[in-house]
Amino acid sequence: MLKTRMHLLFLLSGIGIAIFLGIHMTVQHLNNLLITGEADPTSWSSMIGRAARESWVVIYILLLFFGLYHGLYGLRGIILEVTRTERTIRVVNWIFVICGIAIFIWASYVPIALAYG
Amino acid sequence: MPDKNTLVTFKVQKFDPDKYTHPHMQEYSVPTKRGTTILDGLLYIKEHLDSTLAFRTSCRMGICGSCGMLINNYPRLACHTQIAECSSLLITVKPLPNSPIIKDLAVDLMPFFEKHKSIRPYIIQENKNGQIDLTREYVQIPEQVDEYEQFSYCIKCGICISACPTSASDVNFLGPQALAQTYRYCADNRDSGSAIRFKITETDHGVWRCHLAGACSEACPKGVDPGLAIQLLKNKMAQQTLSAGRKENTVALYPQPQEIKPRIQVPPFTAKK
Repeated sequence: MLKTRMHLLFLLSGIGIAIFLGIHMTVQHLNNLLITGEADPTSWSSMIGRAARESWVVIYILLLFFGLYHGLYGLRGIILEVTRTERTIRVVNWIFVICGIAIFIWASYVPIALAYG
Repeated sequence: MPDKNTLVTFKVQKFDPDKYTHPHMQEYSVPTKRGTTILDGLLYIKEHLDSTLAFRTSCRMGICGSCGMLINNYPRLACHTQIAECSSLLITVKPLPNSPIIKDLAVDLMPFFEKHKSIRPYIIQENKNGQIDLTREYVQIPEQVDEYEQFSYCIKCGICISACPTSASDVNFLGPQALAQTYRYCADNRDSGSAIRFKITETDHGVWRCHLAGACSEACPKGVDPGLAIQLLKNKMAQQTLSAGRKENTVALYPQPQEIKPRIQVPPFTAKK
């Protein structure tokens, strides 16, 4: 039941985006609402300081994974609707897998390097 | 609202693939009265105005599903749609979309029927010898009938796939009718073929292509609500994947009768020799 699992992960990633994007939005853009909010969370030093903390690295990478999976799965669904042949479907699937993995590695490099580099 | 002998204009899409490359619209004036249906109008056109007009019809009472067509840009059964419902003296009639046109208002429904056949729309029940028991009845209480009864009202008219936006863009999509019937049989306690059908519907053009537009449920003339059936099917498949659903009970057979009533003896004076 691979495709069912993929779709369930799609639903789960939607919830994940809501949660982690919510955290990002609250801390970074709605800081006035927080009692212990920083003065300027969008400043370079503030961003570097957050990225060096392990908890934020986990949050960023999870948000990256959920956002990437959710977006690519949805885009794949749209493309498959206008795809007729099995061979084309296989090509489309592999393109999405390769691009997804490549973007994930590239985008997760920065927070990992800041935290541990 | 059409009154006695009101003239209503029927704008009908005509297309003869032997003569034309594109469809065109043709107008007819049809006398109508209270209670006249779209099908009545089309039959009048065929009998008095244009005998070449091609369309399907059979029961004329909304049970066979033959006369599905696009009436004023909405898919309906022609026999079940009164002219008065259209609230207009101009009625546009076109063939059902998302299916190839054979001629005029008749579309090719073979791809639709093939998709329906592909989900194995029959009870799959085998005993331990790999055979279905034909000698006794299966037990089914009213609550178990309620689980699938609504979805068994499908008359295979094709209106749901003509309304479905995913069917419009994806010709290989199984469609709301096939998916709803998949659930109809999986929800039937007499059936044990869920695993087989899940493999058929869990494809790149299967159940997960449905985006819950709901147009199928809105258009269905029999109240089947295929959108609900598809969501319930997704639920069942997710439960099986996560092994979270309750185990389905195996269906019981009615017990053999304990005594056999004796044959009634025929009085000798009624029997002819």
